[in-house]
Amino acid sequence: MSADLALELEDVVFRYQEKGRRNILDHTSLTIPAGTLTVLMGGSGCGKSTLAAVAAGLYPENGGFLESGIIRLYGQDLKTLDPQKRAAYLTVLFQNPDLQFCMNTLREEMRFCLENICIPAGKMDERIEQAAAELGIAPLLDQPLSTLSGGEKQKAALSCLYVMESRCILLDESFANLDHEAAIQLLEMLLRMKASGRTILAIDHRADLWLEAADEIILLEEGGRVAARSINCKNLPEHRADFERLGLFYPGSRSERTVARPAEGKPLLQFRGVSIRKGLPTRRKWGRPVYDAPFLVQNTDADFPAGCMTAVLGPSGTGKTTTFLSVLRQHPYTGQILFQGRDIEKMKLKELYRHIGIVFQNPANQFVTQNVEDEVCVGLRLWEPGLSDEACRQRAEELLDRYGLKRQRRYSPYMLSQGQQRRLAVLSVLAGGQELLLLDEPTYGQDSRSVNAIMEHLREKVEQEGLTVIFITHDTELAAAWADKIYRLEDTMLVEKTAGEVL
Amino acid sequence: MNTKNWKLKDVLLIAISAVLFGVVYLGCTYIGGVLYGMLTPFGMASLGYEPFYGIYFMAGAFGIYVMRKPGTGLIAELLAAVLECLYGNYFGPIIILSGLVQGLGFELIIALKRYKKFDRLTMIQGAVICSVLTLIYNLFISGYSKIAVPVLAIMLVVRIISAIVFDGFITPMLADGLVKAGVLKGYAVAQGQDMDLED
Amino acid sequence: MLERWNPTVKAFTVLVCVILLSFEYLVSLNLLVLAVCLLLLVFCSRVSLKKIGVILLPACVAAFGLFVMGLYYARGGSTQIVDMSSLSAMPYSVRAAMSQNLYTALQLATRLLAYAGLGILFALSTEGDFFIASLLHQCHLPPKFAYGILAAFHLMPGMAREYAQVRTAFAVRGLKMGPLSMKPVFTMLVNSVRWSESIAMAMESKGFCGEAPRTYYTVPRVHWYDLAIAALMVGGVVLGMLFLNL
Ligand SMILES: Nc1ncnc2c1ncn2[C@@H]1O[C@H](COP(=O)(O)OP(=O)(O)OP(=O)(O)O)[C@@H](O)[C@H]1O
Ligand SMILES: Nc1ncnc2c1ncn2[C@@H]1O[C@H](COP(=O)(O)OP(=O)(O)OP(=O)(O)O)[C@@H](O)[C@H]1O
Ligand SMILES: [Mg+2]
Ligand SMILES: [Mg+2]
Repeated sequence: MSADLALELEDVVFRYQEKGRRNILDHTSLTIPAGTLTVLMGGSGCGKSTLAAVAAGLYPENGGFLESGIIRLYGQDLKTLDPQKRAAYLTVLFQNPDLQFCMNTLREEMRFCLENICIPAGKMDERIEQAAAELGIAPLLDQPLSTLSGGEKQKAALSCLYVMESRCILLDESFANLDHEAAIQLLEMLLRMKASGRTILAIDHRADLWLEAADEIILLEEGGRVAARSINCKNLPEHRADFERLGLFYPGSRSERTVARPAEGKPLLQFRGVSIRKGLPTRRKWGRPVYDAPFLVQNTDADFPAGCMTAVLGPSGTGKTTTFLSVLRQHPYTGQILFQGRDIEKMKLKELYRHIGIVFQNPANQFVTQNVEDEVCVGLRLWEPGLSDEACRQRAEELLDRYGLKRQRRYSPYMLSQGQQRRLAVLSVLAGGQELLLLDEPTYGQDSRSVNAIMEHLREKVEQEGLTVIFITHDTELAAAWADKIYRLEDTMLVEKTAGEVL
Repeated sequence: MNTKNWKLKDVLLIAISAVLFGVVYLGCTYIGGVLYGMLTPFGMASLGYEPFYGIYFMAGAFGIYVMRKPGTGLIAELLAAVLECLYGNYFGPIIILSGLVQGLGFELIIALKRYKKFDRLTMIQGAVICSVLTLIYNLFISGYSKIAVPVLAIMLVVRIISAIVFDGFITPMLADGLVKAGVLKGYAVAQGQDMDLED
Repeated sequence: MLERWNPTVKAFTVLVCVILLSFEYLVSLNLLVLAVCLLLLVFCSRVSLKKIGVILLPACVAAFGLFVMGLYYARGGSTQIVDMSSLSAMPYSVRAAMSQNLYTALQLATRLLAYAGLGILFALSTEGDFFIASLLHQCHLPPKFAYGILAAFHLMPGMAREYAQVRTAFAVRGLKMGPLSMKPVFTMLVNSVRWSESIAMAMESKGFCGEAPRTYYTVPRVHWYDLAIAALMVGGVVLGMLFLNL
């Protein structure tokens, strides 16, 4: 029990169902020295997020059942600390960028944080302004939080932690929605925080970014147990086998480039002079909407060839998600979007959705059943009405197994880890029979094994069934490796890039 | 009333579901508007919204059915009322007054049962008491005491039926569905329903 | 400015006025209250006329409904006879019955309008965050409840978007649903539970704790002028009850 340990877990046993048989944290013991930068890696669903919540004292307070174990923050038993004191030691940046906020704007949210830790009212503005300047988030301060893009939300959440100045911060996959430049910028800021004596604990599926700065990489396996630790950039090669065994991304290794097929098929989806504005019309005049928000996309042409995989890259907040919504006619645009040469404005919504499927950036919004297996079956059944119950279940099980979800097949989709939820969302949409799939960051938050499972499945469908896929990603390597065509959304234009250019 | 045993997430659950039910009610007012138009020639226009009156009590009913502790009904209805008031309803703070009355309705019946029984029958009884209490409230505040008794009787019957449907049946059904989906773990309604989902 | 009137005092003023009005059936007083409220809104607040119109419309619809009901089904005993000569085309019996009821109908409808006026006065000139902050400090609402309400309140705009997205998801997945379908509502309810958990966890992780002391960026206070306006309004209604009744 030493005070130079920031976090100490001793033989912790935790599970979500009190009477369940499966312990998510199964005799987990872990120590994190104070003042270090540590990266935690582990397969999707191995219990990293759970560990974070337990370490912060949020579980079992808010759910789950802690059977045994002791947790200490800077030598203090967690049980003796109330949320206010805990926050002084440890704060968490959650994996899901939505649902982290309780106020309307970032400025108010930061005030709320400062109020919680009893900062005098007179000092608040000063701290907020300083954080805004340091983190470059001044433009976001007064925008309603619910309208921020995924990456912007993560930045906002991080700046809340920044102003709170707690001694240890735990980041759960917080760079996953950010482009490379933004991630570097935040990393520099984290390093400054570390230099001032703070402890940083990052959960991430990719260690590349952290490698140089990290004091230690810890690998977790099923049950949240430590599989290997004290990994750093020097002894990394010795641990390659561990990474591979656990299905994790080995830093520096590139996924092999699949042979890109020349993207010369007839375009399935075409943009002709498309312009999209930020947000919704703010007011109406004579019953017609008036837009005064800036353009996200302006007068852009683009072709998405049939039977190909097209990647869309671009910095956070440039309007990738919004563009997808426009294709689904859920967001206003001007110009023409053509599907198979037909203007989508002229198609009935119902007809459009028979051709186009989507996986949203936040998968939890799209589950339609209360059971993982049913979720897949819904897709299968709808497209093959003749399928017998038995056959349907069997097919669903095969698919789930492929995605490493078989064990959870009787779970509710909401009881899955973030990565598992996303896999299920992709799977359930792939089970349908649409010709065009829009995937909004399908591989975000996945380990290497799952990324390959998803991308191979997509590739297979593209090659065998002529499916057309457009996916948004921040992962340039992924785009370079798998996409037949790459667009980058920059300066309000969709610009075509080659694999070499984006890397 | 003891507020110590309320966790933050309990408050949030009630508040957020109250917002949701509020949105549902708003949706239903469109249908209510149509009924209103059809009933106007018969002088029964105000009856148009009555079939959806039960939705007003849903936040309280849901809170009670899920959390099952003293004070839930009252607190839930008050929370819902404050939120409705924030949303910019033309009744403003008067809503809080009616929230109080509605909360009392459910609180009364579960207090009578000593906070032990929370089955469907209790919910139905609560729904009926709530309807009666709100009509009495209307008698005073909205001046319904000036309306002929038979009309009030029709109104009461419609309101009771609506309350029974929405609060005696739909609300428990939704809550049971949530339990089955495994999202209400840790709440009283899911007690003893702890399942093992592993193969 | 009405916006700066302490919200708790404002709310109590409105409630007291409503309760006072509920003891009387004065058409003139009701209309007077409505007029004063609207005038106050127009001249002493930043609310646009359009907003007033939009929120007043449903109130008028409801008042009309009550009016028609009063006209047809007022309980007997109304003694006020209104000149109905303008409706001379109607048979006498109908006219007689209606003339009795007309006054009752007016009483009911104008009362509802007076309430609406008071309610709108509050609703349009009060900012949500300010009201909750005021409840927290003036009514000692526990912070747990105050911030719980605020979090839900701020979720509202997102909620509509979320609901739209859930419906889109259902449509894209090819599931049929009518406008009244319970399925998206159920999904939203599932989401609500999840949200409540996640937001509670996020708030606690940011050091929020229902009981521990905390500082406040702004603390709404009750000034003498808050009470003075309240006294003026309540006094006005009382005077109206005394004198218009004569
Ligand atoms: N609310 C819950 N109820 C029941 N089981 C849950 C719940 N949340 C997560 N689990 C289970 O616990 C396991 C660990 O989940 P956790 O979210 O900690 O994974 P993770 O390591 O963070 O994965 P990822 O990298 O995908 O985010 C998963 O297998 C999941 O099915
Ligand atoms: N309803 C809205 N009102 C106002 N602004 C909005 C709204 N929705 C989105 N925005 C803004 O539009 C911009 C584009 O958002 P979008 O979600 O499309 O970004 P993105 O490219 O998908 O980013 P990310 O990679 O971070 O997910 C963001 O700056 C966001 O703040
Ligand atoms: Mg996780
Ligand atoms: Mg996006």
